[in-house]
Amino acid sequence: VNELETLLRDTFRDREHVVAGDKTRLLPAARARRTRGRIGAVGTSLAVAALVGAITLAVAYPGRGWAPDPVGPAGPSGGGLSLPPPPPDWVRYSSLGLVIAVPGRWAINNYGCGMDGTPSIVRAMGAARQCLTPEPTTKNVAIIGPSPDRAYGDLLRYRVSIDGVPASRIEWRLPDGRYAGSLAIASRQIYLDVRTTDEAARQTILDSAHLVDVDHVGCPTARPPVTPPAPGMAGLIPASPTSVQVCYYGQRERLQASTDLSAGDVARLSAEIDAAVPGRNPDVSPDECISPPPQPDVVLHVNGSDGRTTPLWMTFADCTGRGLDNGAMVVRISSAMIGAVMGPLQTGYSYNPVD
Amino acid sequence: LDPTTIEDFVAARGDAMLRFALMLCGDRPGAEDLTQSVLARALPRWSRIATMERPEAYLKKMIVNEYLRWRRRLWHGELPTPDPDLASASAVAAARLDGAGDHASRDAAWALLARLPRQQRTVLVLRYYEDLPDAEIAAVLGCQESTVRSNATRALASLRSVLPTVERETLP
Repeated sequence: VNELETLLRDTFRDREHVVAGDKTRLLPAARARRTRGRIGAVGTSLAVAALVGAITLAVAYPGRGWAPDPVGPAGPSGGGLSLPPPPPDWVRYSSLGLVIAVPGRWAINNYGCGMDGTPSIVRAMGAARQCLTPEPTTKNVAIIGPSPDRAYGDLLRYRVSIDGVPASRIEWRLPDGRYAGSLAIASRQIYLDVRTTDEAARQTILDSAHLVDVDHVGCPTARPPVTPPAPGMAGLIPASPTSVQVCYYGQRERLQASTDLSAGDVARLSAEIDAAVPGRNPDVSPDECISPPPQPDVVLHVNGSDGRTTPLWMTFADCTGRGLDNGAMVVRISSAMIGAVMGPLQTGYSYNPVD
Repeated sequence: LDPTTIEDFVAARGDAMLRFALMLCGDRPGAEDLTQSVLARALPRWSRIATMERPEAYLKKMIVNEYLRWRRRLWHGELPTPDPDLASASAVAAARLDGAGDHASRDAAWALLARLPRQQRTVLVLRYYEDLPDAEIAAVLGCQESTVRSNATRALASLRSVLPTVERETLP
């Protein structure tokens, strides 16, 4: 029993930090609660009085009944999900339809073979070298994937709702002292695993999670079909593209990663497209790869100075059907063109540059 | 310490109040809710509470009473899953297998505390976190000392039935 008592004392002391620094909110919240309570009491009294009066009138004038409410209940607000802004100096990433925020200094996909202690968001690793690199015990990481990063055993799970979708949330402490957390949205096969050296960072990352149909960059979660270009489109892309959003699907049906290209990358990509040879790339020999029906790996949203957005479909990982097309015109892709698009995503990919 | 205003009191002892509430209810939102609720009721009576010999003890008693009659509010949105195997032998086994040591055994104990009836958990918190003697615990809960002892015995037995391996293998 003595050991158990010691364990209990240690357990209580071990949790004290959970509420450290929260006292500043206590009194303002208590005062607000008291004010709400007073207003609620007055409101309840008025409501009871109104109800009694209404019943009296209804009894006195039984033929009248209740007048219909002239204004119907508010329907669902239009438009897409409006995400709250991330904390200052934090940035958003999305994958599989889940958007999260992490500190802006974090790297992308610094994980797995050859990883170091740099904090990193991990999603859509793509093709990667295979080797065993132990995760540094001070590594800060947030991983979005279609399956859990680790088995959680019987850790205490909380049922939560993320934008109306049931999910489970776990928070615990790792033996190395890091704060771990996970969100499992099993119905959508989306899992977020977080390990940080700072408890507040773990909380903020988990709390920032939102499910979206269209992410913060403007990429749809579901792979969009190839559609013809808008009428009046002379070339493959607008003459003066101002910005480009990259939506990477790979060979899957859900968005794997997305980003806004920098002005430099937009210029490089634009120059590569202008210099591209019309037509599709030659097919790779069927002996060299298993060729499923070709699917575009990337959808680009190219925004012109006239305000119009032109979608482009880039297919490069397959053996057949490779090229960049806007639904009507096709040009050959090149390693440089793919690099301009995939480099900023920092997602591994494969491309056979056969001519 | 002789706080004359509730602001002084919260500045000096607010963290302690929150920690005490956390040990009872087990999570940060609940601890804040519980403490705010008690402070909201204490606000109009503060001039009287401040003259008491031990205002903090009085407020902690209010927290205990609030906790014992508390119904978890739906807007919390987070409810522990009613899995009967939760934090049970397999969690403890997992803690041992991955070399989790102290952290894991405390995590397992914390998870098990969440499964205890509120009265039993309250007794453990008052006894092992606040270090109150059973006579004072009985006074706080408004019950007999024998009731305190039986609650403590049952709670410890529940924990011991799942935690013996942890005690033996991972305690320092």
